[in-house]
Amino acid sequence: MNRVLGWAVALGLSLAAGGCGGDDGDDASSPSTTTSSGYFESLPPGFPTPKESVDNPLTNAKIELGRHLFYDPRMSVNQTMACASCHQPARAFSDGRPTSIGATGENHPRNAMSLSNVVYNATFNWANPGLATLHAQALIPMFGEFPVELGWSDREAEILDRFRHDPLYRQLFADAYPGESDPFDADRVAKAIAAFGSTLISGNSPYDQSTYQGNRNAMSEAARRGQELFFSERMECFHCHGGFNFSQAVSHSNITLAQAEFHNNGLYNINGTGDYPLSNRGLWEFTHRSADMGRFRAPTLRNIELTAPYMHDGSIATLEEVLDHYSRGGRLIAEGPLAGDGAKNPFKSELIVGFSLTTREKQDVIAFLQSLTDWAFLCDPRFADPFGNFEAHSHCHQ
Amino acid sequence: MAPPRHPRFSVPTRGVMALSGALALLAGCGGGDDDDGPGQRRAVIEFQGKVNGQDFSCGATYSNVGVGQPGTYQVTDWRFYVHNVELVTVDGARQALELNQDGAWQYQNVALLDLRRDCGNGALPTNAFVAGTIPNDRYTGICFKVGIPYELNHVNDATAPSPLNNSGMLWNWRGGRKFIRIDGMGAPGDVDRATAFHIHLGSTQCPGSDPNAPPSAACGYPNIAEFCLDKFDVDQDTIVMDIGTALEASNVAFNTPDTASGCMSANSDPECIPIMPRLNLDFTYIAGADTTPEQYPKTVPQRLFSVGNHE
Repeated sequence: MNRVLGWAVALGLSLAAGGCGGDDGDDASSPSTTTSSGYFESLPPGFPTPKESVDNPLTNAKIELGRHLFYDPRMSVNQTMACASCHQPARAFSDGRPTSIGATGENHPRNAMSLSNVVYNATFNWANPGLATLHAQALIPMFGEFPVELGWSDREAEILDRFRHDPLYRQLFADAYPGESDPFDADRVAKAIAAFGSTLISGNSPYDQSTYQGNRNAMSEAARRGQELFFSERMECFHCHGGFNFSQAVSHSNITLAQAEFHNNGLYNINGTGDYPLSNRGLWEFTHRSADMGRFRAPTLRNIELTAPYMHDGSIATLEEVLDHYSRGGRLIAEGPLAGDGAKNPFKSELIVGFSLTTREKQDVIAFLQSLTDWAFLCDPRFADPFGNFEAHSHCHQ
Repeated sequence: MAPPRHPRFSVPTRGVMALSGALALLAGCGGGDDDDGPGQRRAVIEFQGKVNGQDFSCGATYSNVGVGQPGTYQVTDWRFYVHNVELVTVDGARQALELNQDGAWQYQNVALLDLRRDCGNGALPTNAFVAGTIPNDRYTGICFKVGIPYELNHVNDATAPSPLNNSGMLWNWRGGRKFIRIDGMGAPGDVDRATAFHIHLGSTQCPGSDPNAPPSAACGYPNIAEFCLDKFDVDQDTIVMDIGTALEASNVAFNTPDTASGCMSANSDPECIPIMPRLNLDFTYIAGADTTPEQYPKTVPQRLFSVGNHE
């Protein structure tokens, strides 16, 4: 608990002390910003205050409960998987697989998304325009049946009893939901996990140190050259991956106009009709409008170095190949059931038009993307597994 | 004659901003002129998007656009900022419209117009209006600038107030925002000829070594133009922005290889030569290192914006 307290003072203390609560001094340069609950006391310099859900105000106790639940295999029906199984801390909270596998062995059609800065997402999942809160999102892996992820459906009481009868959780739930006689329900589980997820804020990468903290030397010369390319009209990366979170689809307390954006980036063009594979059609699955075929949310690029493989279906293995994909302006699949030239997908974003890079320029862009890796975030003990099952990245032990 | 009276703008703290935004929204819902002050009236100016006289509809394809073949053009995004909106009295005096600080579309003297309506990017809010208050008088004209003033154009998107944080309008910190964003496709549906062709207007040659820092000095080409329309009755008329006029000398099915798609304001982009002057801007084309810059003065009179009628 103390580690969490050291990061952000509790509600009552922040109201009483007005932002003077932090005593460990390791974030001295952070601006003091608070939400209605007073929680986001210490944000990375230059970062906006997240929106806080009115029905799920943050408290340290709720975050601590959420951290335990997030890392606890008892969260899955057969006690084989935790949230962290697909969102591993060593991989910036992704899982390293092209597509994920649920607790009962079912294949998920999508790649597990990194949780870096999820609190700033305008919407959640790869292409769900209606999923706007972390609390609502957390219920999907819990209860999803097609495919089964954690397998809560019809097994809710059994899973909740595991926590209800564990002294550790009795205390954690009591602290998180004070005054409630029976806080052991799925909604409160989801709220606690959402609370923990919303604290996973990454804003201390070499890029951030250079951009927001006045330390220009934090980025290498190669990364700086790559930055120029990234923000050039030649590559056009920033149209979809622009702004402080390297994603157009952001939300925070200053955002009053919805920024939900989805794009087709030319991965497929089955039979030349623009189709994507049946299991992964993006926004189209919600609207059935042709123009929405293959449209997915552009995710943040923060810690992207650690979240391979890439794309909504994990179908590109490395950052180099991602650059090759965008360089060509779409992917050519020469044969097989998915054959087609994604570059000619009629629903592709008009901003993906291809470019050519020299070998050195390509390395520079990769260096820039690597400058978005935030070791302070990845090695932060406040985000670590309290049970010690899920290791931090090996870099953190050096 | 009295000089134009400009509204006094303050830069409130975020909390106050949110509060005032909420109050403005409340006031906007409630109607009534209680807050307009003595001698003040409300004014709401509607903008309409058109392509060669036809109403803009997101995703629609228009014909006879530009000078190339087949001349078809599909438009999928249409947003732009305006600032310093002024009404002009019969005797030519200008009066600033004091914009409602609604916490969403308008901040200080800047407003974002978003004409997309149902562009397939999910349920996006759209806005075709600039709303504010102005002293009672008889006005017969209107002037406004397209873009964002320098002082507000290069602020950090992470902490900027709405609508300056509209992520789709971000360029980068040094370059500021896109002033106009028209996304489109020439020869749509033709697999061999389909060409992405956009108009992204913004400031260029903003000095500085870091794209993620404010420019070290004013931009070489601010690319902010003022538009004045006569015979404009704020209670009767609309303002039409016809992008067909900006593209009238372009081949929207061709883009010079290795340059931005269409015209993104770059001084080295040949596609900007016929377009920038039609955005009421003098354009300097610089082909390369050892070439003499070529000057392309703005087209007079401008035809990008015109007076239209409520439909």
